[in-house]
Amino acid sequence: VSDDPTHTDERDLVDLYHATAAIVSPDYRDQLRTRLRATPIPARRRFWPAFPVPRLRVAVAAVAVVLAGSVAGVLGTRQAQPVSARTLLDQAVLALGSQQYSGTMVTNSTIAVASPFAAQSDPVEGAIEQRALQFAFENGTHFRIDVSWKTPEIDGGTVTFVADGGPLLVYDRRGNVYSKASSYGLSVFDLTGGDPLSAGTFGRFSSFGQSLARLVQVTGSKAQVVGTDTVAGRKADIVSLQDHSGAQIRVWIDHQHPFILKWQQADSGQVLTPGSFLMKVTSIHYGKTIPSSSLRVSLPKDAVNLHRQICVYSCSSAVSGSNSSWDSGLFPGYIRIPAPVYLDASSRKLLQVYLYGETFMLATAPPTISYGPTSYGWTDGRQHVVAFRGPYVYIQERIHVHGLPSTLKQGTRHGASPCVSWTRSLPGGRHGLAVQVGRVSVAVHTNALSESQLVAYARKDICTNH
Amino acid sequence: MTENSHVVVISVVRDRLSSGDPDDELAGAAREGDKDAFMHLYERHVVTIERYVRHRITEPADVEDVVSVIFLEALRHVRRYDPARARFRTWLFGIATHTVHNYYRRSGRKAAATIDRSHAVDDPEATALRNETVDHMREILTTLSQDQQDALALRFGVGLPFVEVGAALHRSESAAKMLVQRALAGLRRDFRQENL
Repeated sequence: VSDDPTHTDERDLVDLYHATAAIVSPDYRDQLRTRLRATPIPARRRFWPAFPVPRLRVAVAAVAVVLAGSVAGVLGTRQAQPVSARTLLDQAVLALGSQQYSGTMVTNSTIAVASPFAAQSDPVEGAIEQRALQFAFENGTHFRIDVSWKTPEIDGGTVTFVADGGPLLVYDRRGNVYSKASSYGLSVFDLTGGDPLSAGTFGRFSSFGQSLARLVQVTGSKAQVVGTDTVAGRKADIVSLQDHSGAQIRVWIDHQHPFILKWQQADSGQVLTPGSFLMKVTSIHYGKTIPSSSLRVSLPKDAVNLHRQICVYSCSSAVSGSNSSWDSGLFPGYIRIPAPVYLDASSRKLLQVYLYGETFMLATAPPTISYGPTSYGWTDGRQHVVAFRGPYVYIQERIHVHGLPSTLKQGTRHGASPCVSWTRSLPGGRHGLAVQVGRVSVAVHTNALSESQLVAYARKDICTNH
Repeated sequence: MTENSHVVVISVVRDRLSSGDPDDELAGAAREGDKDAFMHLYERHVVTIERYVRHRITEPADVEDVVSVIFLEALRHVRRYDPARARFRTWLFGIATHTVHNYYRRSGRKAAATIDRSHAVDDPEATALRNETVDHMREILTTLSQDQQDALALRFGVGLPFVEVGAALHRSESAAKMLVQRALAGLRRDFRQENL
């Protein structure tokens, strides 16, 4: 502080203010850490309480079924009458939030994403991921769902979910990996186009249904019934919606059950490069007569058991060893792609690096992130819209048992086995890199690096370190 | 309904990930009971929370206790955290300010900051002068309101942007700026008086 009090400026005051801070030893943090680890997160009230007594649980289930039957009866009555748009809208909104069907079911679906990364000559890049499936399963559940995932350039493959009355089995053909549930309950399977099957995939669960009022508020006046159609042999009502980003959505709702048979969506392009999303049920069978063969999955001999527990409440108590649900260390077989750290010092000035486990990384100029009100059906109540403008690098790691997909093996080949890379020019001044390291593949898209820089990155940071 | 009855809920929802704020994913998982996610949140924020508390509480032992209470409260209530209303960090600082206020309410202490002797230099005279100046600052800080002290600690102690200072104190961004300006004006004015 200046000797002359009249010269005391804000910086002096703030400097002096900093000097008033108490001095503490960080040792207590270890004790606090231990204490926090030992303290459980209190359970929330759930629609489906975890009754410890099986008979009580069955009794409650019986009551629930009676109530559900009543609702079904009401719906049945309504179906005999002219269906109002409002009824269908409510049904659609409910279905968007949480599709619920009590019964056995076998279904096949395809999900196709036209990624903005495939967009032509547009400097705005975005990442669209799909949060795909939510299940609630109890002991005795029988179902099978096969989801084929198609994402151009980036990813693709099939994931199968099978519950044969016992623990749920999830087999991810993309990486030839599988996992089994260790307990029953309500769980969310966060199947995305960008992530491999992992403990984190099962790390969440959400309550049944949602606030219908909130969802109505979200979709509200911009939703309307626009017709009927047949999907997978089922009669469906088509509802047109618009979300807060301006994306146009059409959903095909099973006329008998509040179940989405088809979902078609195109982004507005206002924030993201226009992309599209299409989910379509290709076959569906409701009822109790599921062929037992459909509940059997023949795992290849070389399929890798993830030994990741499917968590219902907390993975921390369910996962043995040091692998936790969040910081699970290296995923079996993965190499954890290194960040091209030298980029930060380059003239490109890539300002932010996003690293999400071993699965993908985005390095980019500051993104435009807008937080809107809720997207449909997710409990965190808001939608994240991320637009990456300017220089960026997108890196994604995958296991491909049979080597790089042919779509990635294009352009100029570099190096030799066991570390081979390909580079190529992409529309919009972008360049692509694909690297194969044993069973691991790394795909890179960037508008900030030349092909020679990408080759150097592969050689120095990926191949030599693994 | 038999014992073989079951419930299957399937939904297809759409979302965009990669929000850029790792707290979003961690908090989402913590809300669902994932302790490891919460522990990551702890590791991410313990230093800044501690920095805030160090600027608000005198006794080092009390700082440790209050920081512990803050995170235990956060753990206890993490399921109530609503990301639609605030960022996780803002929510956490809301708990922190509330806990510090409770500390002063229960202990009957007068808010003050302790003296950091780490700035001591070899020159004993200069050290004494510095300590005296810091003591003055400490005294003057006690004359500020709790909100003003919070605003200073959040703004300068932690380095939060005004919008988050306001959110943590349940005020608007402009109100947070006004709080800080008035606090600084008070400090400046009192320093003048001390030295006249």
